[in-house]
Amino acid sequence: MTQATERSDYRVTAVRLTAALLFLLLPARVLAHTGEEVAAGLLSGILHPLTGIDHLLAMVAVGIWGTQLGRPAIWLLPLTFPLVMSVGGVLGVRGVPLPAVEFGVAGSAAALGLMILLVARPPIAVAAILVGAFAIFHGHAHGTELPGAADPLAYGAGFVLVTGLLHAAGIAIGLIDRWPAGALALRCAGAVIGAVGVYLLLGLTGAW
Amino acid sequence: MAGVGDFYAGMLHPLTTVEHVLPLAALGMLAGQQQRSTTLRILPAVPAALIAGAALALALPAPPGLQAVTVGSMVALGLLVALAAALPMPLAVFAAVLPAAAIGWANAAELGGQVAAVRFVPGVALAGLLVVIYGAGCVRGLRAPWMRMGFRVLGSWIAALGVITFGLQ
Repeated sequence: MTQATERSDYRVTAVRLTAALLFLLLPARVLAHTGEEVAAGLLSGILHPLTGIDHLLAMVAVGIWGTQLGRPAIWLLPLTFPLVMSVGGVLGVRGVPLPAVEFGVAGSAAALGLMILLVARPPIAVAAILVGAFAIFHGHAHGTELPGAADPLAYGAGFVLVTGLLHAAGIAIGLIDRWPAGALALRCAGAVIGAVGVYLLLGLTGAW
Repeated sequence: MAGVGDFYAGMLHPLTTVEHVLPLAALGMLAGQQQRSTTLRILPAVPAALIAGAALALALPAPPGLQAVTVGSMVALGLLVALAAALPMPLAVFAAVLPAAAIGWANAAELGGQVAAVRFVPGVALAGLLVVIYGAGCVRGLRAPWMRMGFRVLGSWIAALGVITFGLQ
């Protein structure tokens, strides 16, 4: 295979993958408007990380940053995140208060976007602790918003599963890092994620 | 055929409870991550322990910490899979026997009415064996690096669900 056709093959695959990922988001967006009817635990757990733009962007950012950092971060971050998030989730469902949860969630999108933009390479332990700290906030936010009628475990299974799949989506997107144009595109995506995070933060402070 | 329904009820029972099927799935993946000789010790130990646990349940009242063991094994086995830990043989077999016995006990403890234990319990043991064989087979068969990583991530999901289950009790 020539290099040109190989490249166009990659492009076709990338387009298909993007289309497929977007399709995954569509029904979730539509169903979210039916409100109370989707209160069944698993479904609401699945939807919660998808319908909150702060969660969605931060989770995809974890995957993208992981690919920029390469091994072992590419798998260490998605490995530690659900574990720490589950602890935060239990705190949330139990009603244990955690200060400034929404700031933590929006701040995680801002901070992770910045890391991607700067292609920041802290020591792996620092990256894991940073992402782990964010995971507590995300888990807590999922936990506190457990719908009254929903089964907590099914809800937990839903948000753990979808969080993991969003990491995988981030990693899949991050694979374009191997081409110079792709690396640049990732940094732009990081800038967008960071900007949305900052916008949400400003909204929370009431300054916007 | 009379009584065959009890066998199927036994097969279905551990598969319909999160804290039973997920530790078994984690156990299968853990078995697949071990050396071949260790895998081959774990696989038969699982149905044996399930039957032994069920036999204890028929003889004794349920101990108070039973659910803590099954849920705790979700966390412990999930973490071991996430770490892809190579365990020494006795420890690996212990890690298989303790949760499997607790799961067998918990399944048989709910027996009642018309269901015959002699047909129900072998169903539980067969289902457990199949889940473990399936998990081990997937891990041993799919050896691409990203797939190995995928199994470890699955382990961390199982451990996370264990933490949630534990925290909600």
